[in-house]
Amino acid sequence: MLPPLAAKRRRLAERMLYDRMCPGGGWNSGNPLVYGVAGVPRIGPTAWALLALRDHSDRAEIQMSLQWLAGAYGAIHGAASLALAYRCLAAYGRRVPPLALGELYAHNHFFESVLTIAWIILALNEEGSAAVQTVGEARTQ
Amino acid sequence: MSFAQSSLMPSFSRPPSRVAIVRSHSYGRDLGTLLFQALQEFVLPVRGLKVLLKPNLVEPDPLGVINTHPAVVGAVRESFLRLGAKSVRVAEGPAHERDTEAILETIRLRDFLGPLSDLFVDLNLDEVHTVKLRTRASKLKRLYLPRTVLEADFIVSLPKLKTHHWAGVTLSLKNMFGIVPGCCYGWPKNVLHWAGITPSILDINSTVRPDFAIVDGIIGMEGNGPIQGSAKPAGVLILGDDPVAVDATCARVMGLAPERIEHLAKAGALLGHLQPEKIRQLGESVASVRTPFAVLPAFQKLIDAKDK
Repeated sequence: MLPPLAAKRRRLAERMLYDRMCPGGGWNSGNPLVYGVAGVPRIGPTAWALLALRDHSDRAEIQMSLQWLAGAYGAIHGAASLALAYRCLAAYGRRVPPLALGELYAHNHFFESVLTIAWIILALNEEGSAAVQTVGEARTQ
Repeated sequence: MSFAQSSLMPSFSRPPSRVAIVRSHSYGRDLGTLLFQALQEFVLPVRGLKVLLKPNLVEPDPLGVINTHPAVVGAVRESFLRLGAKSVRVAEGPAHERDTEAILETIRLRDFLGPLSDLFVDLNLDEVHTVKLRTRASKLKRLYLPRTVLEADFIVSLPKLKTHHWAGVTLSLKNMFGIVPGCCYGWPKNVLHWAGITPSILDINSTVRPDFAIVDGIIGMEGNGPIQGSAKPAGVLILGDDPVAVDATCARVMGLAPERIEHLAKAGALLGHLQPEKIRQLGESVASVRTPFAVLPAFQKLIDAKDK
């Protein structure tokens, strides 16, 4: 049972996320504008913010941010970002290409990062579910 | 960590520093030879030591403007190995991007260094130990430092020549923000920003003063740096055995007055030399490579009178 003020605090947190959104959609470390110049979104913060705001999927800000993330997906070079973006887009029922992690693992072993490996497992769980249709053949390890 | 050169010392009792300016207009194959020859001039005592290179890797940027160019990192590593270092590792704790591997892959660092799994350390996630600060410029009192940094014998700060929208410039001293781990300080190292950029720069560098600095100024960044500025080809590498003297020389090359840059002016009291008469200049002269950098309106006051 959450304390009575939890819902109020949650709404405050959601408002903060919208306040910090980059003008073109997506999120970065927290500065949407610096000296009037729009900040560039990053994969990780965008994926987490979208996951947190999944109940708001009809809002224009969410759709704009999803569009940015889907557009950026093909150019992701890091395993952690790839797994997070995959997990996020899949959570919104978006069609996404399969996780292509084989080459990254071969080069760097993901630097044995616990976080990266955990996020990849989360994404692989999603990939294995029937909720999302994927295109092409998975080259996962 | 030796802390051999990290002791605080008033400028009047510190021996003169040495800074070399080397011309290089591309990231081509001759970079290794140029850097090795320049480093030989310094006769650095690195034989048998564990050397740690700290480049400035901020965000995935395939254009090569934001981050220290991987060709420079590769050439510096090769040079220190040729000088007899026991090992040369590369480490960074990026301030903006949590996915360090995404930066490394975007800039293709492994094309210049080979497989990174045993060579590169993500300082944001390394094991940490607490270290008492040697100064009290900020209210931090202690730092959480990665084991990789504490175990290094010789630390080389390897930044990019850039303007910075909060600090004026980001060079070898500001680059040391990247040694403290994001897992303790957040992204983009929020704790340091709340403690104040200038005091944090001073406290970090007084506690872990880089033994050497090499600035990638082949292509720098002007204007709204350190991320959203414009590429500025300056065609230089600036290196030396005193990070304050290196940064002061960089500022002069950029057409800025180092004594007007807050963290440099304060660092000049105890961490190294700011005054040109205390810096033994090797290679090219400042005047011969001077390339005025554009700065944001808030930093017009930093421009050297000669460039106004």
